[in-house]
Amino acid sequence: MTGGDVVAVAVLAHATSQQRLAGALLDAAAAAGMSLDLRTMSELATETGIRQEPGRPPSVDPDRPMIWLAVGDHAADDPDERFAQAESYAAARSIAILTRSPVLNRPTSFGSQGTLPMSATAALRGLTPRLRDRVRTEHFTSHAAPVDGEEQEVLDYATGRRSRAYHDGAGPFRSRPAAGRTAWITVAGSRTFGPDVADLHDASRQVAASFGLGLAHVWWACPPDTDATVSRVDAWAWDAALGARVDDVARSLVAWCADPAEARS
Amino acid sequence: MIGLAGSKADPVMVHTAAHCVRHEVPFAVIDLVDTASRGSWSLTVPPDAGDHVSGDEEVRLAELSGIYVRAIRLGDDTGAHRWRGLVDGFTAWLGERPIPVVNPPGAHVLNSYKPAHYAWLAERGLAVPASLVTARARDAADFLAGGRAVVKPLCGTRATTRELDLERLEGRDDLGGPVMVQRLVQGDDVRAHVIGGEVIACRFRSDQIDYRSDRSAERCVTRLPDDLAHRLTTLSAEQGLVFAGWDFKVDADEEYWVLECNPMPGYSFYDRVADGAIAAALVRYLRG
Repeated sequence: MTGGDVVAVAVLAHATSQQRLAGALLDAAAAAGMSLDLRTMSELATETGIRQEPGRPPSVDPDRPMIWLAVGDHAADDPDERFAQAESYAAARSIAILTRSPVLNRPTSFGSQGTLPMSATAALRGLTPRLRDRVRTEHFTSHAAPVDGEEQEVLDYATGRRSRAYHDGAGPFRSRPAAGRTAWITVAGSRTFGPDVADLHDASRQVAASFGLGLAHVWWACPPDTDATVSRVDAWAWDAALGARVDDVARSLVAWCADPAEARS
Repeated sequence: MIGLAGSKADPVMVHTAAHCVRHEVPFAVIDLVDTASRGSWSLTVPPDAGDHVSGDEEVRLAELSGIYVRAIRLGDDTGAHRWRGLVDGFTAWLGERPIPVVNPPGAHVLNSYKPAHYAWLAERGLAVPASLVTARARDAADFLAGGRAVVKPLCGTRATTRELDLERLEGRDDLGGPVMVQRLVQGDDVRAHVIGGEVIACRFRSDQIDYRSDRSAERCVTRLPDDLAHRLTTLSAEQGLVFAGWDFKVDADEEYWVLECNPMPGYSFYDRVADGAIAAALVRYLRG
């Protein structure tokens, strides 16, 4: 199959929080001679049917290769609108699960993207034993709980801010011992992006694959004197998360769609 | 001592606590809603002996033999960040639990995505009524031409099941969004609760489409066919569920058609039919 034969769909908030990625995907698809449709979850749910009959596998129509980049809508204030959002999301996620064509970051029984758990802590503790052994102890508190003589990584739930100390935030907090500088590797299809740190690109690919992800960000803590350890795994694909990597990521995702062999890997 | 983690405003938690009181089972209440709004907590992952949650009462988690969790947030979005911080920590802590938890985090979430849930159930050999998800009125009308059908939510929200009426489709092109219609199976309703290896089932007979709306529905405890009961315990475990509520329609040939597997069953209504057997099994499991 060549790029020109593929009619694929990317599911994302193409008019809002993923607008830049959407544009980059269209540019990459045009350059590859590929036909790529952009759909929000609601649009996908409205134009796609799912039929299930006893004794037969479910049928999704249309069934096409999909790049599942859905990050969820901001919850509406109105209860009826919120229900409509939930219905569209349930339909879209089911479509992504049941589509027979390749789906990048296909949701599963456990997660909205691959098997990556909703809980960031659970994601780390779900790593392979070799990596999990080095995952740091985490502490969840309603109040600031600094440890004498220890630098900590702190997430303040009140502000969403991550820092290396408790500041004036109201909390609650999630904290763990700091462990050196951070390296951020993005896995997109068969390519990886990020600083050139020994072995981290291959290791990030393995982490992404272990959660069934074709697009993932793997954050490593790199102590000066020991091996790097995974500090965070996510599959966020909104513009703010991708930053300057958006064009490279878009090209890799389009290449993923155009190459069925890679899509199945 | 067992822990009951949820909200005191949740009738299911109240029912469980009342069972514990009647049967002199020591228990501690972890009111997640109260704790999130005005309490304090310290939780370590992996767990530590000093971990505690303090709402109306201070609960040392190391003192619990098991925990029943219904993390349902009630009220508006005020303090949403505190709720998220508490539930993130508590869920992570439960994931590393050294004790029985009902239900453990990391279980299937497909019940909130019904078409995928149905496909999963059908793949495992259960009879699932035919269904269609569509936003087109004509497709829904075509489905209805094949027999009576009901409309159900796609997401996990509880709603009264209604029969699809052709008149509501006439003159419309689209339905305003995706709608799920499912073939109506006429017959009795069965709710089977799986708790570990135990199965406790109740059967209902009603003239209404949704027996839950019919106060005069006939009701009794029933026994499932052995092979089905065994399959339900196996499939609950496969989903990572210790406690599950399975809904069935039973047709005139006594065939069981599965409607859903509920991962957080509101069991109190059925427990009254079962004379407390469900709560007793739940508490037995939590006491280890």
